[in-house]
Amino acid sequence: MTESVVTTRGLGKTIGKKTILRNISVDVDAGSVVGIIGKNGAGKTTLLEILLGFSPASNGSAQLFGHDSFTLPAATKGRIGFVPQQDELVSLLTCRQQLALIAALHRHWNHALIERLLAAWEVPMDSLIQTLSGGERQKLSTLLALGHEPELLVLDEPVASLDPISRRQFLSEVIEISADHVRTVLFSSHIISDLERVADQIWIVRNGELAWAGPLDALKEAVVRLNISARRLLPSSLPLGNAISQQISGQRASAVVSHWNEEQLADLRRALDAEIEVEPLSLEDIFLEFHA
Amino acid sequence: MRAALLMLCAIRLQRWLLVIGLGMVLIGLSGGFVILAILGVTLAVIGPLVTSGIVFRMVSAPRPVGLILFGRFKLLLGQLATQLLLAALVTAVITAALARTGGPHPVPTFLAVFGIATLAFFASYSISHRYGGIWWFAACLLVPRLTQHLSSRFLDRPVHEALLTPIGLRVSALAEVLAWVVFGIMYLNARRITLTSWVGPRTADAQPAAHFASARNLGPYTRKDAIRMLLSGNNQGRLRWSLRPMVIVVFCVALPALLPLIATQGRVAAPLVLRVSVICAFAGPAAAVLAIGMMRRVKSLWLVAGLGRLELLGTAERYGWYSVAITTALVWAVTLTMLGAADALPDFIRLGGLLVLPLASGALVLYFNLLLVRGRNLIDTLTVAGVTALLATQIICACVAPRSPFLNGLAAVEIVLVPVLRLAVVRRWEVLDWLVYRPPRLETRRAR
Repeated sequence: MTESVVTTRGLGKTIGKKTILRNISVDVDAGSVVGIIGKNGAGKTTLLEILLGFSPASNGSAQLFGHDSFTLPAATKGRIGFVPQQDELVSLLTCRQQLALIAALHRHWNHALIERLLAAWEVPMDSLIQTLSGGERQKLSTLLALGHEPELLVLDEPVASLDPISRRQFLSEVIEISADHVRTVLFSSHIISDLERVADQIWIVRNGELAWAGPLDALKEAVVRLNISARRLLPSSLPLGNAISQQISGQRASAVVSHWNEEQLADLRRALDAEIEVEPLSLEDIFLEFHA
Repeated sequence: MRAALLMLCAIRLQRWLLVIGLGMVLIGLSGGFVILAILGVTLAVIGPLVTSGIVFRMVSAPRPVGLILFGRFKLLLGQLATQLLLAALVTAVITAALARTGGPHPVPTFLAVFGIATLAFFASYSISHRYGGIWWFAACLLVPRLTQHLSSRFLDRPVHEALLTPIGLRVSALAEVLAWVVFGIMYLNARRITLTSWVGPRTADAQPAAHFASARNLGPYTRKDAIRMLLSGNNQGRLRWSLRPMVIVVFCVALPALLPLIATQGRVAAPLVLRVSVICAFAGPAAAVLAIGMMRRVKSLWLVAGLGRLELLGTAERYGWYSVAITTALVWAVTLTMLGAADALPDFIRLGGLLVLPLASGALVLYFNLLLVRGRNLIDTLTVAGVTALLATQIICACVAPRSPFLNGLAAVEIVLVPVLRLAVVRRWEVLDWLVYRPPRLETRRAR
C-alpha cells in the first residue's frame, strides 16, 4: 500500500476575524506531483505553511508522513525540502558558505547532484548572497532544498523570478525528481503552463477553499466548454447542474461545466433540441473559468 | 497628508500607542493631571519619533516610488508635515498642561521640540543604513558638549539661555529649516535609497582559490557552527568575528565618554559618573537590539535544523545572552578602568547598580525581542508601552541624574521583570504561529 505523504481533514485557518482557509481535506500519495493554483491571497502559502508546521490549524488536522504537522519530529523534518516564497538566505554569507552550512545540518547530502546543478544553473558560488539577483537567490534556495534529496519537496512559487531557460531547467529537474515515483512534490505557481507540464494532480484554491483537488487529466475531462446551437430560442437559464458560467444569445449558447461526463450529452441534446459541441479547455482556461 | 498619516500610523502598534497616548492627554488635561498628560503625549509621539526615519527609508526604497510623479517630493513633504504635527501636538500639550504655572512660551517650545524631532528623524534615517546611526549617536553626545564649550567661550551665557533670546530663536529656526533643505536636496538627488543590513562588511573576505576548487569541499562546519552562523547571520565561524558587533557597540557608546578623558589625561572627574551611567544605560539595550536579526532567521531553522519551537527559543536565547554578557563584560572593563583611572569610584551600592544596569536592561530588551510583539492584543501593546517607558526613564535618568539611587531602583525593577517576561516568551513560543508572528524583514534585496 502506498504511504500517504500529506493528509488533511477539515483543515481551516482563521487569524483574528479573517478566515483564510476552510474545510480542506486532501490526501497525497508518495510519488505525486501536486500543482497548487489560486489567485493572490487565495490561501496557497497559508496552506503550505500549515502543512509544514509553521502555523497551527484552527480547525481540523494536517499530517505529514503520518505525523501532526505542528509537532513534526526531527526525523520527519529531514525528509522534507522547502523553498519558501521569500527566501531565507543569510545576506552576509557567500553561496558556498550557505550551502556548506545547510549541508552540515543534514546527515545525507548529495554533492554530485549539487555540483551538477551548480554548473547547469550557473550560480556564482563565491559571491555574497546580498549581491545576487532575485533569480540567482531563487536558484540557490532551490539547491538548498534539493541537496539532502528530500522525499517531500514543497515549492512555494519557485519559478517567479527565473528566466525562461532557468525555468525549463528547473522543471526538468522536478520531472526527474518525480520520475522515481517515490518522491513527492507540492508546487504552487502562477505560471499555469509550467504546472500543466509537470503536475499530475491539481489543487485549485479559491477564497480559502479547495475548488478542485484531483488528477490533472480528470480535471481536463470534467471541466469542458459546451458550444450549443439550438433550432429554437434557448431558455434564459440552461438546465446544467454544474455550470461554472453560461452565456446565452438567442439560439446559441456557450457554457463551462464541471463534473462533465459523456452520458449527460445525449440528455442535454434531447432537452434543448440542439447541436452541442464539447470543447476541452486548457488548464489556464479552466483556472480563469473557476475565477470568473 | 496621506504620507503624513502613514508615518504617524504606519503599524498597528503605533496606532494603539497614539490612541492610548491621546486618551491619557485628554484625561490629564481635563482632570488637571499634568504628569499624566505629559506621559500620554510621550507615548503618542514616541513611535513616530523613534521609527520615523526607518519607516521613511522603507517607503522610499521600493523602485516604483521613482515611477510616481514627484513621488519622493510628496514623501518628503509628508515627512515634514509629520514632524510639524508632532511638534505642534507636543507644544500644545506642554503649553496647556503648564499654563496654570505660567509655563513656557509656545514658540521656543515648538522650535525646541521640532529640533529634537528633526534630530530623531535624521538619526533613525541614518541608523537604518549600516553604522550611520552609531555616528549620529556619537555626534548627539559630543555636539551638546561642544556647543556648551563654545557658548561659554564666546557668549556670556549658557547655550540654552542664548537660544531663548530673539536672535537665538531666529538662529535655531534657520538651522532647522537649513537642515531640512540640505536633507531634502540630498534625498531628492539620491540615486537609490536602500534599507541595508546593520552589520557586516560589503564584500566577502578573500579565500584561497583551492579551498573552493570543488563543491565537495564545502567547509569545516559542524552542526553547532551551522546553527550559530545561520541564526546570527555572521559570516565567519570564528569567535573574534562573532564578538565584533558587541565590541563596536561598546566602543561607539564609550567613545564620546572616553575622548574628553583622554584629552584631559584623566583630570575630568566631575562628569565622569554621568558618562559611565550613559554607557551603562545604553550598552545593554543596544547589544540586545542586535538580536532582532535572529528573530528574522529563526523560522528557517524549524525544518532545516529539525529543531522544535522551544529548542529554537533556547538557541536564540543562548546567543542573545552571549551578546548581552560579552557587552556587559566589555562595559565593566571600560567603566571600571575609567573610574579607577580618575580615582572616582562611587560607593559599593551605587557602583553595583550601575554595573548591573547593562545586564538587566540587555536581558529585558532581549526577552522583549523574543516576545515578538506585533500589537495584536492589549497585553502586547501594554508590554511595549511598559518596556519603552522603563527604558526611556533609564536613559533620561542616566543623562539627567546619574548620581540618583533611582537608577538602582530601575535595575531592580528590570531584574524582577526579566523572569516574568521570559515566562511569557516561553508560553508564546510553545504554540508560536509564524503566520501571526511573522519574522521582521530588515533588509531589502539588492539587485546586482
